[in-house]
Amino acid sequence: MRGESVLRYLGFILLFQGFFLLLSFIISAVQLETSTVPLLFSLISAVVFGAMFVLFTHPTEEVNFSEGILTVVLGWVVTCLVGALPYLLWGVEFDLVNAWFESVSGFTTTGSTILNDVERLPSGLLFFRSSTHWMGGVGIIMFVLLILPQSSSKLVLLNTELSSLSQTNFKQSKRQVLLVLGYVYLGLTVLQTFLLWVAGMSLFDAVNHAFATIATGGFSTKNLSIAHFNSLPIEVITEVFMVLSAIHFGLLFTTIMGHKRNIFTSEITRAFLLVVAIGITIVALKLYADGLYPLGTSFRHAAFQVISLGTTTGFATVDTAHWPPLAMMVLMYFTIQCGMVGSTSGGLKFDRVYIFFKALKTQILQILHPRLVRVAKVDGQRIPVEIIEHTQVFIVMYILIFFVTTVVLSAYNIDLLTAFSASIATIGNVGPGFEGVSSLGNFSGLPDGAKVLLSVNMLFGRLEIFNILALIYFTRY
Amino acid sequence: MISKLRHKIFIGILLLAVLLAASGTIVLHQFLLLNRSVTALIEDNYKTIQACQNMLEALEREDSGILLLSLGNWEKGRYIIDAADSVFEASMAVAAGNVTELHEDERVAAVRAAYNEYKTKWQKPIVDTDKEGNLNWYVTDINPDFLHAKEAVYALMKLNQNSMYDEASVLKERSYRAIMPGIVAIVAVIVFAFLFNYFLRQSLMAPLYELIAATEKYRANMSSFSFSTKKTDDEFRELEQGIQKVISKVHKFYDQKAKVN
Repeated sequence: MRGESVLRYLGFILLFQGFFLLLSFIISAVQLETSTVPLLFSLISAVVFGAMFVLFTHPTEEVNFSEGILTVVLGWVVTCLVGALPYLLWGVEFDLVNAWFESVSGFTTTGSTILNDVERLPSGLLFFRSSTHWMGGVGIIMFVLLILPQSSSKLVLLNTELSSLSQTNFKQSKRQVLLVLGYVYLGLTVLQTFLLWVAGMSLFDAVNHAFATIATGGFSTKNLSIAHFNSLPIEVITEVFMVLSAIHFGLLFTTIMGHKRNIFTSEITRAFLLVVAIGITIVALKLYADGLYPLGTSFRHAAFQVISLGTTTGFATVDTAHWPPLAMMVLMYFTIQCGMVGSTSGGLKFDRVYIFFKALKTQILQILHPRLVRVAKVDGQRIPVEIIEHTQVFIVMYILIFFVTTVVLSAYNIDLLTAFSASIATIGNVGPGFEGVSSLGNFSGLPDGAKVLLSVNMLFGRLEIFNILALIYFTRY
Repeated sequence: MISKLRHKIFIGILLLAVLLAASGTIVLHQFLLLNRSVTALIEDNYKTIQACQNMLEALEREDSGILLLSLGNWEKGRYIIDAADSVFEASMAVAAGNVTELHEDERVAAVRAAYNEYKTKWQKPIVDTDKEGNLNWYVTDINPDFLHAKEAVYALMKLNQNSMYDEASVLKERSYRAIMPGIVAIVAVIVFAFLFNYFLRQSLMAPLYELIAATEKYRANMSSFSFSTKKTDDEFRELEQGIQKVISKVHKFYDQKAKVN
């Protein structure tokens, strides 16, 4: 393993992060805010270390798989560490653990916060907080790869950052995948910013909310999240873009380009949209039946909350902590299922759930008719056995991690619903949970140990478990 | 990628200097702000709060003086009232000259108005008039104005106390912000030193060991001199080329010597 090649990419990652720190610093400096100095110092630190890594290392033509894994994992950890600096230096509600938690939550696009008063944050720091979502949305490493010149190292890193399942719907060459991701990501962000601005948000809020929506993050500039604006157009725009951001970017690209294979012909996308629609209907009817809201309002709130959690965004328009158990259970299901692979959505991913049930159906048929030869198919194509196996192992690992997290959180005497939902919400990179960490609440009340554990969970979720496990195996053998 | 070693060392030290200078400047800046906050706390608010306390004390003493006058004790009553009045006026001047908060001027004006109203009551003669021994006059005429003046002073004091509390919170935040860059800078410099050492080992020590090994190898079998597995273009490359030239000259010398013999 060559440490130099890993450090070189870390350097580029830090310099890229430095660019957003610079923007945040400018915003802060123009308004003479208290976050100016913390942002400036963080900027200098990022640039000094980034420059050292880039200037002192040789360009590498090729990185091997283990170096790729180490670059990606260390890239995330270093990004989160440097990202915690502005918070830590600014203080108020941020101590070391809180700053780390907020930074990891931002970069992994989880959107869980420890802040009781978001609106107290200066605008420069608010912008940096939202931009951590945007950088982490497709992965800061992706941005670096997009900027760097073409080399075979890029393909290794791309393969490490993008799971094999998420690469299935990219019909472009691997070199073009990066460009497709970049175009879709940037296009959606610009379009949503414009629409939110037209709908009545200030430009600053529109940019911040677009960053958080397209990255399916969930950090808002307001204490009441989207509920603050109390505007149906803003809610509808946010819902549409949350759904789009949870669909495979390769499919979005082919749809825009008018290709035959698009979101309307994709079996998994149609199933995903159908499941979301069913979820909205169940929740809305339950809310209406329980007399919580009139029918129209029930659908309005149900749609927003189901889409928000089902796409792992985590915005809120109401506090779901007071909703009936059935509605909470449906929301919890969506917290586990999440969006599609190849999107910015986190969690288990709908594709895996779909493949799992397809494989299950095949297995049952096999048991009933032992001589029958049947294979699981999606869009008329056979699902490779290794993808099915990978999916099953992933699901088992996923469940295992959130079970272990729940048990450890319970050891801190955290109530079971809070512990359970916090575990799912963090490993799924969703954001809010229920009870003590509900949609309009925050994670500040949890003990420091629990916050550290949950931030590790977020990293596990964002790196899709296997990368971190692979790194542990590499270091052991 | 910098090729020359001297540039690498210079840039490394320059980066370290930038980090240290930035953290030093930031800490200094934060301490200056801290100093300004402390000054503001003392000058802007504490001074007025102290003046308000003096005014309240003076009002209380004036009230006792009025009671003495109404009991017919003219000399002692007037003495207490005049002394308290001069204390009040002096404190009032301090408060009026230290208007630093929003709406503080209105509060100062309110104190002045209330006190003037109160003062007109006890400036007129009391002893040997129908006011002497008249408890009813004290309760209906004097006491409400006395309470009103006290309330006005309390309002001014509260404004400054609230402001002082806010300023103390800011002070707490500023002291945190003055300390944190220092702590982060210490950690950053330690990390930087380790990494710089790693890079120097890679660029300086590793080629040096390679050079020693290559020289030893050449000395052992006098065959070709091979050095540098990495494609670098630093001073070691120049050194290698120099050694190669020397070796070729030595070989030439031995060849010529052999021919002559």
